[in-house]
This record gives sequence, C-alpha cells and structure tokens, in this order.
Amino acid sequence: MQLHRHKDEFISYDTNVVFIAFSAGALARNWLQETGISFSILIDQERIAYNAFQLDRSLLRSWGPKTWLAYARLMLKGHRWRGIQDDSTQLGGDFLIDRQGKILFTLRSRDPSHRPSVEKLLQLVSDHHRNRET
Amino acid sequence: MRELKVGDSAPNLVLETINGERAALADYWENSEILLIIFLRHLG
Repeated sequence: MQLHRHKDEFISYDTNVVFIAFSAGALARNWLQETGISFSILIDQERIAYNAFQLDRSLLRSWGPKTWLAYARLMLKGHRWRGIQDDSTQLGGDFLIDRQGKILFTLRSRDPSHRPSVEKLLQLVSDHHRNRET
Repeated sequence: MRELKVGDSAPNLVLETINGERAALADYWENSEILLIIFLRHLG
C-alpha cells in the first residue's frame, strides 16, 4: 500500500493514521497480513462511524468502469483477487482531524477508486504543521 | 442531517480494535497533531 511507504513522513508531521473497516475482525486481520501495513485498524461492523461521517453506499458507483480499471491495474501489479467480501456497495472516505477534534479535510469517495493521493495528504499535513509553527 | 464539513467537530465514537478492545476516536486525535482516518472500501 502506497500510504505505508510514506509512514515515516506522516510520523515526522506527528500524524497518526487509523483505518476503519466494516469487515469482521478476521477479514480485517487477513487484510492487514496481506497488505503488510502496520497502522491501527478499528472495526465498525455496525457502521456507526461510516454513518456518522456520512459515507454513501452505491452499487452503481461501486462497480463502475473506474473500479474495474483499478482492479485490473492492481492485478497487473501482482495483487491477488480476493473476491467479493462483505458489502461491496459501501463507499469509503478520508478525513484529517486536528488534536482538538476539528475536521481539517474531508473526502467522501464517489467510487472505490476515488481517494486523495498520498502526496496531497502529505501536503495538507505539512501545511498544517508549518502553520502551527509560525 | 447537516453535512459534516471542514471546521466542524468530528464525531467521537467508540469502536473496537482488532483485538476486541474498545477505543474512542478522540483517544487517537488527542495523541497526535493530526489524525488521518481512512474508511476502507472494497479496493482497500
């Protein structure tokens, strides 16, 4: 996972990374093993957090051409197709939150491939870090 | 429901860790300058 390769940079900006998954714990553990990431992961099977952060579900947008293209790219890179696990209509999102709990950035995915680049996230945390220092 | 936007307070929810322990989101954002939360979708 690209994010994991930049873990040290996030640490250097005192940024904690947490994944939230709606899968059962066993599936989440498998995902951690397969991806080799070492960030924290929280389980939200009842999707309390997914709902509170207002993340959509959509069959149409989950399985559009962009998703198939993203899967094809991953498989070309040697990733294994894991099949459909859990609810494939659930869309995700990315949020930056400061120490006081204020939201600094939101992205609610329009489709599963819609996500901020790592470079964009690093730029945002870097800007916040710099603004705090001045 | 009003859309959560930049500048709003994030919902502080209690979820489970992978080891079955309860953890509040605030515990994570209070312990670092910034917290990045990534909600997984089926592409990971």
